[in-house]
Amino acid sequence: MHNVISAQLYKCFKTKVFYIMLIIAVICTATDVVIVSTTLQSKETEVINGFLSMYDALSGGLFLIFVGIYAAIAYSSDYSSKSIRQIIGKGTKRTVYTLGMLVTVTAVSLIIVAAAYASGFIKGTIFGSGVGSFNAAMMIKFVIAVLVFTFMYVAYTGLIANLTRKTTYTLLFTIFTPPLLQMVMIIIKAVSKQDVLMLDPISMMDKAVTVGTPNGEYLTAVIIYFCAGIIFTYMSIIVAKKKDL
Amino acid sequence: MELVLQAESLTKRYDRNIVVDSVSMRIEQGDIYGLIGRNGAGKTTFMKMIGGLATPTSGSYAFYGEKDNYKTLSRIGCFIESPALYPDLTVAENMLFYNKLLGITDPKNIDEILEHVGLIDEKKKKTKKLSLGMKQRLGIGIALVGCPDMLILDEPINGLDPTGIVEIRNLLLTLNREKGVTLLISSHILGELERMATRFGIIDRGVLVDELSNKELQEKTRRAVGIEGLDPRQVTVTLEEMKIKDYKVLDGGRVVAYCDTGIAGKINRALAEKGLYASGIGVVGQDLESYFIEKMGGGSQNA
Repeated sequence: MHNVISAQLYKCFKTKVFYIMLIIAVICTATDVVIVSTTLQSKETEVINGFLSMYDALSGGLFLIFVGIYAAIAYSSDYSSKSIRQIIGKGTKRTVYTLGMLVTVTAVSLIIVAAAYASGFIKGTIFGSGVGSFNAAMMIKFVIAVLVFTFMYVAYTGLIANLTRKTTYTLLFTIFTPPLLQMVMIIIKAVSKQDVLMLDPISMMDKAVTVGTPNGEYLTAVIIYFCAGIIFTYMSIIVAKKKDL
Repeated sequence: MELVLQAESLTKRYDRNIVVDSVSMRIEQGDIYGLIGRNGAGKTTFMKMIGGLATPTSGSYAFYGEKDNYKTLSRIGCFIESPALYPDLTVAENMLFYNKLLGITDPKNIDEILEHVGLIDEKKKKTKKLSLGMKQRLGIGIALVGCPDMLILDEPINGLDPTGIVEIRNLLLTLNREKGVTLLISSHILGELERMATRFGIIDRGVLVDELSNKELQEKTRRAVGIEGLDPRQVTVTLEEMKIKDYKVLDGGRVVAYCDTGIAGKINRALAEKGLYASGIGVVGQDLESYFIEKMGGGSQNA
């Protein structure tokens, strides 16, 4: 698997899409326009400083959009260029390829996300009015949530790429699934008129990375989406093994 | 000779459609095996199966006696259907990607391969800017990464200009003769296959209908002078007098003389001097193309 990761990392850093996504993510988080999570802003605008601004910068949907777009393009590039035939034809096992791709795309997506958060942090440090301070426990929770959600979303994208093998379909499915699920949850909530736990990725991501979420809800979100990531990976391997190239 | 590929009753079925039907094939070390068939005959599917890209519905195959093809695929280079290239990467970067995939740390093989396939001057060019012919060459170059013992090449000379075809032919022959690389090639350009291949397989509707060596093909496609409409005994006497010993009398009294086909006129004159006037005299025999068409039942579809 080391060889697959090494080759795929080489390719990722040589292609424009990585740098374009990196720049867009950094620019977006460095500007106020894209602060989509209103949790902190509406209630405690005055406490936003470097760290809090960083947490706030990419929560929820925007975070998933960056990961989704990059993962969709990175995953489907091997199919669209038909290079997958050469890769498998050179003796790479399909399971190894699938897992290698998952590790690579997750790692590169995390670089993009990290750059975006760093940009949010710098913005908060410079412009924040801040009384908030660094909190190690909060930071650990935050980092774990980012890792789990990135892994889950990349695994989901990998499954879609393996199923559709087309960049456009992969992009569309990847980007529109989270808001679609959120919409479904909102409808369920509205119809049932009860306090339903919002299980969609955007709401869960919000819970996981937002300051002050109760530990129970945080753990539910992280465990559910970690398990989802594992299931998506397993399904991806099955699809990759079954389908002819 | 070491057995490189042994396919036994390899079959591929998509729903009810049988694309490859119980194909058995043996390819030995050093062979250049030309796989011939019409569009949709099953050539590419057969190649995909042995290249690990498609799972056979039934049957089995082994490379170098090993049935686990992942272990042996690193000894095989594949070029199937079209060159698989990353458009944003340069020629050398595409090669380096496959070097890394195979764990090759020394990049000096890249220049050697690019030199072989005639792309050394284009190594810094992005592959999206290459012509189709150049992409074909790079596809072959990528198949050569890792010094494979066998190459599976599906239409490798598609899109190449005449010079390019000659260069690739020479490259493949050099690899075969100097490095002992075994080749399995399919091509629409039958004349090219005839120049290169040591063995041929003809596949039709998924079935391997004929398999023959180059020698057998030469025998079957031998050019000769055919003489019709005369008493065969008188014709053979005349041929003997002309010191032509290699001839055959076929059913229906047709005589075929295996000699320099340029002397058909001389034979005719010799017969005429004896008052023997043939109803037909001329060059007979086939090339691979006409042999193939005959095998396919005279169809006019593409090979």
